[in-house]
Amino acid sequence: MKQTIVPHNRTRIPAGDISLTTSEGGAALRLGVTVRNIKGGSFPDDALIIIEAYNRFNITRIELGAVGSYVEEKSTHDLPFAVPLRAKINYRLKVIDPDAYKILGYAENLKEDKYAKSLLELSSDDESVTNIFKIDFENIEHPVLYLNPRLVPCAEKLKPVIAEMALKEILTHVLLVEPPGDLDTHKWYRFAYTLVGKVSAGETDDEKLQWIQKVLCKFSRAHKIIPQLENEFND
Amino acid sequence: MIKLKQLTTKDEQALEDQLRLFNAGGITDLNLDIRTFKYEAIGQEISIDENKKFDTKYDLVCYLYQALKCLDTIPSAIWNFLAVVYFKQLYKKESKEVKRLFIGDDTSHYPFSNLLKPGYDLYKFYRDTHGDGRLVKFLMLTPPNENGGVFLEVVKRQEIMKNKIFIEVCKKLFTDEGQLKKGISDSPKRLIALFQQYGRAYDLYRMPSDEILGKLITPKKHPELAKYFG
Repeated sequence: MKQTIVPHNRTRIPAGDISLTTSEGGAALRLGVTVRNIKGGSFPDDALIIIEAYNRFNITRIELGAVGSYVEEKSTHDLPFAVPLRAKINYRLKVIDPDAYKILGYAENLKEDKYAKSLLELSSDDESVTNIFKIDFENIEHPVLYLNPRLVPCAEKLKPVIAEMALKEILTHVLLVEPPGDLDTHKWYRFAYTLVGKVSAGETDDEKLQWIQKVLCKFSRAHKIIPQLENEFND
Repeated sequence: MIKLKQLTTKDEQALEDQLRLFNAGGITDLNLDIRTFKYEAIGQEISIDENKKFDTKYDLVCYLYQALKCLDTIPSAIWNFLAVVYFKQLYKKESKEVKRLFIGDDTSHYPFSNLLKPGYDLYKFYRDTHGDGRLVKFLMLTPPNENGGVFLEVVKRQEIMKNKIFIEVCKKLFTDEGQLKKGISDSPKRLIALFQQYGRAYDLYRMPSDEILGKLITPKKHPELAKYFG
């Protein structure tokens, strides 16, 4: 296909001047943005600052306001991305001339200050773990997985197995041992719902165990656990 | 009317087996029967008319929007249930591309070739965000069992699919009385490429479509598209 060269005269904005953080608020993802050193620079006061967040499933644009009136403090915005994310979100910032629609400044491949917290925190500094792993449920919202330190070198190979086993243990704990007050907003349920749909886990222990089995089955297929293991150990 | 449900894991496995056999040539015609699956309930009571006939993909997605709009997320098991319900209207014997009918387990990619979800997403976005799903009607005037070429090019790319200005430009250039013109071939693909290239210098989400067609994508600059300018 013919390539059209489109000349542009954009100013590159240093990525270090943009701070991005995400947090989960209920079922939504919230983006916190701060842009530094944009006021009083080379951009006209009426130029618009826009952040674009995108991945393979969605794209959204957030207007942060005009350069001249921008206040250098963190603003937060809802991101309409399904949580948990199925693909990492990428960000870019543009400064736009509101009359000619020209892009005056840009920053691409922006990264969050710290990647969104994974569902399960992983730690390997507990020498007392004699099994393959142990999950600490002290904080039910944020369980921590302790891997046996001797297995750390082969953690990558074991990841698919551990992921499935850990999910089983967590769902069992959350459903049968220590159910949270509001199931629908609990992050482990929301994760399960993305796999099996918003179906009640049932009332009896048997029904709950069957539901867990269904989630695991879906998880295993969605993450290609068996083919991954075959690949790891057939080399 | 039937209640909206979702396929069970066993249903999906049985379906996969049948599709594998079909693709390997073990069976020559798929003939899924809604009664052979078990299904399971979803959290909400939603009824759908399993006998409703749709002339176009647009009619189908408008109907699904009304039925499903109360759901926050629609997992693949519901899309696959709907594919079984409307199987006779979606299935095309000569096409063995299973992804058109059923969404698989690989959730890391957007299932753009599926006959139900992308059309629904496209309509829902313009209906919910811009208040008018008819903006994208011209892309979905194919029979329900077909994805039009332009439709596919649009839903493959989120930045194009969600850009109202692109939809307007596409409509201005390539439609006649609300229908896509005949023989436009690769021209929409060319328009997408131009949007991506000009998008590095201009904000094509805000620039009005008339301005784009008057200043950037003009018959003089792009003679390959000249025949579409009125």
